[in-house]
Amino acid sequence: MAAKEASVLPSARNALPHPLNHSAHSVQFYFEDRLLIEGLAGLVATALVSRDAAIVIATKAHRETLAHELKDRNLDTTRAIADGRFVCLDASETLGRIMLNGMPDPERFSHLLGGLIAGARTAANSGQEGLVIFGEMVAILWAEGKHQAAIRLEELWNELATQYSFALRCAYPMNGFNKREHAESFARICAEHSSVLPLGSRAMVVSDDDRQRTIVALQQKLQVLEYESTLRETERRFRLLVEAVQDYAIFTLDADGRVNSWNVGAKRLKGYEASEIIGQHFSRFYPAEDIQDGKPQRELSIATSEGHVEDEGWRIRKDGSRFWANVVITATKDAHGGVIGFSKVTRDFTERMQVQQTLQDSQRKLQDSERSLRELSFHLLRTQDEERRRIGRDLHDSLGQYLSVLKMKLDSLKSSPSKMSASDLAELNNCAQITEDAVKEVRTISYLLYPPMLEEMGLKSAISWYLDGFTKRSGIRTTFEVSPALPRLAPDVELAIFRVLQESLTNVHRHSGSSAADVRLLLDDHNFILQVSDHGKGANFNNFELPGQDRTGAPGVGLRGMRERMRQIEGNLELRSGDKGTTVTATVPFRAAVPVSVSATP
Amino acid sequence: MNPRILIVDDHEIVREGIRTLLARSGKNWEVCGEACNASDAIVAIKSGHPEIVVLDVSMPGISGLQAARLISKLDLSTRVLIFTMHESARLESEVREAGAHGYVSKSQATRDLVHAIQTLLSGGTFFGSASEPSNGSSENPGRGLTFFSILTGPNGLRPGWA
Repeated sequence: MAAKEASVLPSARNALPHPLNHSAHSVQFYFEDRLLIEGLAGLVATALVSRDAAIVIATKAHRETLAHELKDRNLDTTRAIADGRFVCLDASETLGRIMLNGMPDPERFSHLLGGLIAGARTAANSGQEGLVIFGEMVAILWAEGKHQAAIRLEELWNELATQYSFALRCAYPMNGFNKREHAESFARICAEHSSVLPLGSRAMVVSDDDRQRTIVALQQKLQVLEYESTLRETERRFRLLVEAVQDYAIFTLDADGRVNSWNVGAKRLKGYEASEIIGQHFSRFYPAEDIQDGKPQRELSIATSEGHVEDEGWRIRKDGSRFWANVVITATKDAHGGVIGFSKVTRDFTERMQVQQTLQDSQRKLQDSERSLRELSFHLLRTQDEERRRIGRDLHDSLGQYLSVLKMKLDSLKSSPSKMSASDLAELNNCAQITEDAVKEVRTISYLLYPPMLEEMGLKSAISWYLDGFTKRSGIRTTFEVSPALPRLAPDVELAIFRVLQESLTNVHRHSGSSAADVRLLLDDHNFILQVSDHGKGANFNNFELPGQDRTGAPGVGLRGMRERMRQIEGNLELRSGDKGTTVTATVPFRAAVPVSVSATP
Repeated sequence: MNPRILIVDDHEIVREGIRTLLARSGKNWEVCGEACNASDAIVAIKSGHPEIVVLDVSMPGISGLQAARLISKLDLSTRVLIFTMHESARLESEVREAGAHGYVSKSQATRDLVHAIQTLLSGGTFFGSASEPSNGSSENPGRGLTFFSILTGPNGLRPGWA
């Protein structure tokens, strides 16, 4: 704060009076013309009544007002003007005659003003002190931003005062000193004058102390001016900004909800010209159903109580078309908290809403596709299972039975006493052996396709049987740990667990390099758990994505298929792989694996 | 009275094969009936009280193992021989758990079937090619159960049993 004051307020020393050797050279800073003119009229009237001379170099407006003021005071200046005792000149015109290359020219100034002073004094036939001069040329230079020229002109006046005796008053509108950088020039202007008139005063100040106080008071006033000017500028820029915003409708409402300002964006968005809409109630932006529902008034009520309200919904343009708007209404309150109006910012979210809708549609379609895909995969797995089951059953129950009976009969033939030759008997033995091999082959193929014992004897037997065959085919040793408390599970759960076992062992055989595998079928408090572990090199699960196929040709369905099977029965599949091998864990909650009843009565 | 045998298999050709095999065995056994599913078999057992049931496993509807469980609950003296295409290390325990008294693999029918029936008729059990001697002990659950039911069963003493 101190630093700011120091920079804005030049030290009092800088503002000390110039060592003048002439009569007073005063300066008046004014806000209101009235005050200036009253003071000036007093000055001129005193001079003329005293039969002294007066020279006024003022703006046209000021000269005319002065003439009225003098007339109001019943002072007839006609004679004085005719005598040359009262000289009234236009400030701009006179300035034009003394300027050279943008600066007041000392020779021209001295020549012109010297001539005027001499003339007036002659006309007045007065003594040394009988001349007052009022000048506004400095104010014009200042207003034009020619601050150096103004100060230079003040200096020329002071130099002129060393040759001629006169009382000089300069006047500057206070509003011209509203910037921080004006502080230094202001101090210099004050320094060029022997007197500085206090604001609002018509009287001349003479004492140094008064002068000092006046300057400080003026400087403080300048600070206020500067602040106000900055504020006005900020407001102006803000207003321009708001007005120029195109993508947002920004407007204000009075306390009753009537529009009282309207920016370009509002016009663009809603289609109304400012002249059409100002004074209208803002409810016309809402669809009929919202108006009927009291929505506009409700939003103002919320904004009043909560401070602001945000809403998204349909709004209506001038042409009746709808757009999806995002609206924020903020209450404007006075110092006492009373609502004096509202500001409203509206954005067109139609496109965004459409994009969102499209996105939602896409997501829904994607979900539908995923669901269809899951259903399809479910259907495929089920169809595959049914097909395998049917083929397996057919092989086992039809071809298998025929072959079994054929074997039975061939064996019977062999054992019955007959006149068969030794070679025929050998051939018969051969047939019986081939038939037995065929029975075994049919059995193996049908079991791999669909183990009938899974349905008839359950997982324990089916897994045990499968592990025997797996070890024979692959050379991989297996262990099987099964919880004695394991009951029969729902057929689809037993099948899913069995298929996961098949696929896991196929993976052990194809990928792990392990010479052994451990299978556990356990229960915990909530789940049935199948665990297949190997002691191999660990697995890259990507390899498991593809369906496997073991040496007997029984197809696997890969990791994805295993997961899908588990998912379908609300189970879970977990794979852990490390240096010491891979473990596949399939978990099925009890509630999903309702045991089948074995107490069906005939 | 000649021992009576009920043949249960859903394939006519298998039933015919068994019949032929039994006929050629020279035993004085009587095939008292045939059934192509477990439900019919149980009805036949209830009415005919055969000494032996030769029971297939894979049949439409109730499987042979389930049927064996139901038969063992009937508290009759009928002894059940499972006759199956299945071959598994666990088959024996499954058959025992179901309350049956033995099993014969279909591919070894000529070698084992007659022998197995003979064993069962004499109170023993037959699991695979290794037969067990008859000892009437607790290793013979069907027999034990029957004996128990003679003394205390709700239906009291049954005729035809000594």
